[in-house]
Amino acid sequence: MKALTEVIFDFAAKVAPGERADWVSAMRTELEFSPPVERLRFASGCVGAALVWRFWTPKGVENAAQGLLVAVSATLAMVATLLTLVAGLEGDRLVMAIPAVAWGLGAFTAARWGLRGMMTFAISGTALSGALLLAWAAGSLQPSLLVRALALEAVVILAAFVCLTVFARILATRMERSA
Amino acid sequence: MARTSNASRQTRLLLQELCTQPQAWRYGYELTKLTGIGSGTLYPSLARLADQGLLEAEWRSSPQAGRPARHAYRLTAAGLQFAQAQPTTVAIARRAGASEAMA
Repeated sequence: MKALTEVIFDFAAKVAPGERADWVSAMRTELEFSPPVERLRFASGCVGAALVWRFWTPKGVENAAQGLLVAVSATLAMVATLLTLVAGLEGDRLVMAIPAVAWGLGAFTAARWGLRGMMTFAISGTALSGALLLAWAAGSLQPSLLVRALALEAVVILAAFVCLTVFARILATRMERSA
Repeated sequence: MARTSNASRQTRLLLQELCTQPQAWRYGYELTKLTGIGSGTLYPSLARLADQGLLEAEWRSSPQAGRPARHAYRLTAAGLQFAQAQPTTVAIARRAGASEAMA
């Protein structure tokens, strides 16, 4: 059990940023003063503290949001690509290729330009998809059911991206102010 | 000094515990036991309070021979003022009430 506690604590010490080294030493000392039966729990908590110090920062929050947006966009691009290539959507291959390219572009934009890039991409995409749906609702366009479904899906997902981006930015700003 | 408003419930709990003996140096493990706050929450709170100038933190030699020095904490004057301005957290108030009843 002691070895496991040490492994867990060593992980915490590795995760914690350098400027918190004194606090890591403080936690290590307290670990020695805590009863053996409670050390595993205490050391696990130290991992949590180290993760907070590493990621619960303005930059950490923005990086986490950016990573999530890149991952989701890339996954959507892969799913759309697979559906285009494998699912036998013969007549709709071109239609399915558009979201595959668009989500791929979204993943690249988020990876390259961060939250600002994703915000631009998401707002543009929402506006385009929304315009398509509005044109359909007004009767000036008659897109196929697949196109309508994809446009609606895009609006929902991109709106969620905008919300996540705004939330991450607000959180990061508040953290900067209270730091 | 950084902005210090909006203390979380757990930070208030910690501040109130530190307020009970403001002159005494307190240790991390002891604070986890007294407040019920886990080490994963306690240490980021302590570090934040220290960053904000509300908490003094220093290494103090252990009274027990052969034991390492421990990182000890107590509120600064500003910290004490800040802690006293916080609304009372139920858990501490309940415990204080229980102590008075036992006395």
